[in-house]
Amino acid sequence: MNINCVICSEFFNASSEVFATKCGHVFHYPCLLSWLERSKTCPQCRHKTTENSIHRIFFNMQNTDGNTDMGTILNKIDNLEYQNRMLDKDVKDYKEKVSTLKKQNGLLRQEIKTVESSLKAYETTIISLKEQISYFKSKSRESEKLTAEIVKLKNTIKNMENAQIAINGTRDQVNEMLRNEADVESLAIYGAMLKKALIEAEAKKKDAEHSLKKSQSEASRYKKEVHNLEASYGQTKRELEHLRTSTDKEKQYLKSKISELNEQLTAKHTNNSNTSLKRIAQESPVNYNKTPKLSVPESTKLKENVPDKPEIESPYLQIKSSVGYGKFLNAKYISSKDVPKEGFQLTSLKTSAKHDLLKSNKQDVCYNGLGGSSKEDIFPSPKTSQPSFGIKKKSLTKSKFKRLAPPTNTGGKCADISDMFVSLSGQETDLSAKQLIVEIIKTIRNSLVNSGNSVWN
Amino acid sequence: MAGLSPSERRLQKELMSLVKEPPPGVSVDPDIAERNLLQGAAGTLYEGERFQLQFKFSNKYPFDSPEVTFVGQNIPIHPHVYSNGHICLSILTDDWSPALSVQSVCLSIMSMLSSCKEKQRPPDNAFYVKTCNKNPKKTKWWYHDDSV
Repeated sequence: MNINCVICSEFFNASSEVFATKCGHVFHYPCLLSWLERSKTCPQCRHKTTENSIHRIFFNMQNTDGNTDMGTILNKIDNLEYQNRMLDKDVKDYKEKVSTLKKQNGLLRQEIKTVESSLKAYETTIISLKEQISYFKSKSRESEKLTAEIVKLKNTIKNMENAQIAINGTRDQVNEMLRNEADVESLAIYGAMLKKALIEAEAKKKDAEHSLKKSQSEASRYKKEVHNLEASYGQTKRELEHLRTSTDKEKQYLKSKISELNEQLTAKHTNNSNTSLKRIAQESPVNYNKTPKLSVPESTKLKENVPDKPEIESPYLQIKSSVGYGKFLNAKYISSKDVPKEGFQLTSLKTSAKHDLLKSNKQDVCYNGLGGSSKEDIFPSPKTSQPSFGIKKKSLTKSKFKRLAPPTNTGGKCADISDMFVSLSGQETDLSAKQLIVEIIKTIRNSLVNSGNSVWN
Repeated sequence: MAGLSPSERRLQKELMSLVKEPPPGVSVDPDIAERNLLQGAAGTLYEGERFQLQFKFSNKYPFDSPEVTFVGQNIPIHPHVYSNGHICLSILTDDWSPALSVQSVCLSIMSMLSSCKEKQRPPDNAFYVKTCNKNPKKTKWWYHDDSV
């Protein structure tokens, strides 16, 4: 039945309560009732209608089966259409949603891409930063190691300083340090260091003792030498004394001789005096010096030419030696062993010659007193006396120099002495014999004093 | 349509009929809102113009009349239409009947617009617009023109 209620627009079916107004319009009872509560009119024609004026109407349905009823079918169709529409709407909504979601998805994908790229960038940065961190960690570890090393070194420095104090410092300082230091290890180190230092000190002590002994022995040796030198000095002094006495004796003798000669001169006052004076003059070594000086080259020649002359040989040799003084000295420096022997020999010769000379002088005096004398007798005596002094000096000086004095000093002195002899012999021919002797003695003394000084120096 | 109230069921049916078989000059955009109806007016003075109507239904519909106003940029200049969109029409208030529907209301408004002879606002437009309630149903209308 294709009839519906205009209020609710539902189709009527067999089960529905259908009411009709006086004007003949049909409605569902609840629909009409709810409207009549508001307005007492017919919804369709506005005719006056009340609850009492309406009445129910009944339809005779041909087919009571609800399913085949037109209204129900139409209602169902409506419902289904509605549902279909709703579903369509849903589909549309979902489609929209899908499209929006797709858009969103695309956007999100893009975002993901960007995020991934940024993530990659961050990862790379993270990796680099991690590397940096590891690098810095290693660095820090190194630095920590270094700091530890520094601390260690500082400790060692401190220990060393303390050890230095322990070695060099005073006892109070060391005590203070030990009180402050509580570490056993460092104390052990100090102990070890001190022990080491002690060992070193002992070694040094031993060395020092050794050197002390050495120096002591040297000192004793020097003392011995000093003793020896003193002894030699005494000897030389004694010799000097001896020489002095001998020279004094000679002096006295010569004085006596001079006085004798004076007496003779006063006694005679004759022409003989000239001859005697001449003789004296000839006897004096001063005159003689002239002759050998001139005859030195001759003598050398003679020595070569005439070697075999038994009596004259010794004086010539002496002359030769006196003349070749420098050479002789030089030779002596080189070979010191031979020299003393010669010196001794010479001295012995000298002494012997001296005695001879004295004797001869005496004899000469006697001869002179008689007035007859040969030149040959006079000739050797002064010659022997002069060189003998020189040789004697030489020997003395040599012996001394040989022991202690440096060669340069001795050489210089010897040279001086020899020069003096030369000068004396060369220049002072006019001096009297007395003066000459005095001069010689002075020189000898001086030389001795010098030699003594040099020894002590 | 189970689970829906009678008013909803009816509105659903009305919408479906409007969408399926709209009256001439009336179209419904179901996507915008089920309560919003578009009315393309084809008539004498308002030919070529398009107006938009807004229907607001209470849950007592169809026993209670819907709240119908013109909305949008183009509000028709009509002696019974105020510039705020309110419409002076008796069936929307006092003369409402549950037998009336959205379709019938639309047809009534279209006929009202078509019967207009002069485009002008109501004489008390300014005053009413200032003082009126938002809801046109709360206005006590004095229907004087029976020609519509």
